[in-house]
Amino acid sequence: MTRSLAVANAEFQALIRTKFFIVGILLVPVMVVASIAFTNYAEKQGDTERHRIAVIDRTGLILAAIQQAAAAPEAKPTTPVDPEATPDELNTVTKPSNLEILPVEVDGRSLDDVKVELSNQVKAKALFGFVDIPPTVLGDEANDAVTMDYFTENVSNRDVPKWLNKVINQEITRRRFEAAHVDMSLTDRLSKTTRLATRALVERAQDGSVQGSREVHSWETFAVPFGLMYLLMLAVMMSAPHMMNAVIEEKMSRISEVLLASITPTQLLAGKLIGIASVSVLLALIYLGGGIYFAFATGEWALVQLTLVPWFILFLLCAVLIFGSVFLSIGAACSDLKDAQSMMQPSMFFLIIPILMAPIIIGAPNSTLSTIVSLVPTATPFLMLLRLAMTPPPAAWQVWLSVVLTTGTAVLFVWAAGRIFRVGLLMQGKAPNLPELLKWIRA
Amino acid sequence: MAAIELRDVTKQFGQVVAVNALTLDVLEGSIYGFIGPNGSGKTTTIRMIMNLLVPDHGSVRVLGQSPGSAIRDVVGYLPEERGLYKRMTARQVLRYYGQLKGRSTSEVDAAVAEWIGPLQIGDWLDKKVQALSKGMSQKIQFLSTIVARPKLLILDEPFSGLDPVNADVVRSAVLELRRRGTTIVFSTHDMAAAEGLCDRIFMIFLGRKVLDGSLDEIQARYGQDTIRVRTAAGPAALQGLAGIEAVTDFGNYQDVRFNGDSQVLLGSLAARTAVSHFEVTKPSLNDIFIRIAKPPAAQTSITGATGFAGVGR
Repeated sequence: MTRSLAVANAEFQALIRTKFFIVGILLVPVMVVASIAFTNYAEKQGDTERHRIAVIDRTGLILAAIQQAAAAPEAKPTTPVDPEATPDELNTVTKPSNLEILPVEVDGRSLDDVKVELSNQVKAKALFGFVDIPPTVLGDEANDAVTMDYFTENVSNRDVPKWLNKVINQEITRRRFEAAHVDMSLTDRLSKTTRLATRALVERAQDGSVQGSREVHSWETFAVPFGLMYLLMLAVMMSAPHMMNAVIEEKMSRISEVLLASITPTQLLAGKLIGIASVSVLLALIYLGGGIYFAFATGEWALVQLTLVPWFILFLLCAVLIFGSVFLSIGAACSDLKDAQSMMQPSMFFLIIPILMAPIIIGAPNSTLSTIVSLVPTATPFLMLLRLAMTPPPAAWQVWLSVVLTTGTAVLFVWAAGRIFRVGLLMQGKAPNLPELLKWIRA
Repeated sequence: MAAIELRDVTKQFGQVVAVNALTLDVLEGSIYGFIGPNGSGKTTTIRMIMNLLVPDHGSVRVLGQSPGSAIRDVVGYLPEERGLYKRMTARQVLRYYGQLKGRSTSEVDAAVAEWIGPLQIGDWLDKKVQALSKGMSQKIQFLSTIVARPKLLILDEPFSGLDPVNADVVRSAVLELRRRGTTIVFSTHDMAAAEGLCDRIFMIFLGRKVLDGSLDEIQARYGQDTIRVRTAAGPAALQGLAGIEAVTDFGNYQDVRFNGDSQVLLGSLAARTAVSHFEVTKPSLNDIFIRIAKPPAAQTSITGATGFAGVGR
């Protein structure tokens, strides 16, 4: 065991002292924050193009409303985005930047002539696009046969047509209500929806009083489960492939032969797995600590579920043993990185499955499908953890069965990796195929 | 007592028999040279001794035990192809390799301190391995095999790639270790080193043992049939002379394997050219190696149709 710990210590030191690791620890949260910030910035600042839109208003009644809307500052929400809002509601219409609305006088010309002339102006970049509003749009009822037409070369830009559609239709609706002598402000008030708040269950305290329950926002229900699952994945992926590369390097530089002259392949494998586990746990603790600090600092203490930490560590260790064994076996079996990358692809598939299944499990955590996939040993560390972090949690028998299955699988994988290590580390040349690997394991 | 005992050991890779029914005893405290052409089975034999390979047949005992975990700590091994962690310092590598042999950092440091002077590595211990010259890396690798104070040291090509000065440093270290009682086995293609250092020499060819004994015993077996000559005419003077079985041309002189009366050969040569050196000598290990390992078609010389094996011209 002392020898394995010496290997583990060397691997741990080698990994945490690499620039890759140090930069990686800082870089991941920085990249997440930066990508969010950049997306927000790009949404606001990305499109600085001048949008000159010509309007052929054949009703003669709508142009003014468009010009007024274009001149008005963009309304900003005074309350936070409703957490229960539907995707459509969240899909707010953004007013395009540098908007300029130009009226078009037909002046006895044919409509086609006007459209051709405006199209030439678009081609010449004098206009961004133009819109034709036919007079029939102000009929009493909405008529699917009537369309307004928007002409542009920039068909990929969706902001301009969405904004025009919204502004013009608001004005059409207002005018229809006005024509029907209906007070639009009254209908707005009467048709206002009432928000449905999701809350935790109510409990009666020992003194007989009923405890007020906390409102649970929908993002809370997936932020912690997703966060923990991805953290577990990150912790495995930041250490196991690196160790695989280290094994290949040892093989290529014949260090393996020196190591095996001093310790057994099993001791070497155990040391490397302990090294991976140590790095993964360190990494996870750094991020978990940061997350808990952030939650307390922002008052979101309800997000902190300390009872999940032991499960997280247990499943992290299982994932490290399973995927660490796979990656180390690949390293031992291959003599160069190219072969190793080819062999890695099937194992990456097993890491992608939990990512693909996670949204389904979030939607129905205790469905039959969720139960089955979270009991598949290679997916259990990620998906059972995901379910444990959700409400309602899985049945206890499912959790304990998953622990037994995953632990058993981890032991099996480590044993098989030990067999592959014993043969593969001294092998040179072509990488083995699957039947050969199975032969090594059975040998 | 034998430090290494091989009994009827056979190892096969597919259809190739790498080592065939090999029996060998390496006595404790001796320096044993393993020689043989490339691919003859030396490294396979060494790997079986180190338990890196398991024999298909026969038995291996090292220091009185079956090779395995129990003897790993007292056996030092320098593989043919060197392996050091490039991003570690030399000291870190030595400590790590020492720890893998069950030694504490202080024990390793003490052992390193003993060898800093003899191996001339003082200024380089805290440099990263990737900054070391090839010679210095090899000395560090050599030191890494002895920091755990092994009873048995197995060196696969310890002098390859070393310049004469560093080769001499390592040679001196090997002799010092033998003086301290360490049994040393080394494989080499350097016949002069084997002749100079080894108490006994073992040669393997096509997986079979073909030589095993002291240098004197081996030379006696191959007879005093070698004559070293230097003449004004060079190798041409030897052509067509009766009794010459083979000629190895070293440029300035030729070693002649001769079957007959050496005085007759001297007379014949003197009649042809000026003879500046004529010495009846034992066959060198190099000669014996070539006699055994060179394919028959390439073997030079049959009486009356002398061919020449050029060396170092």
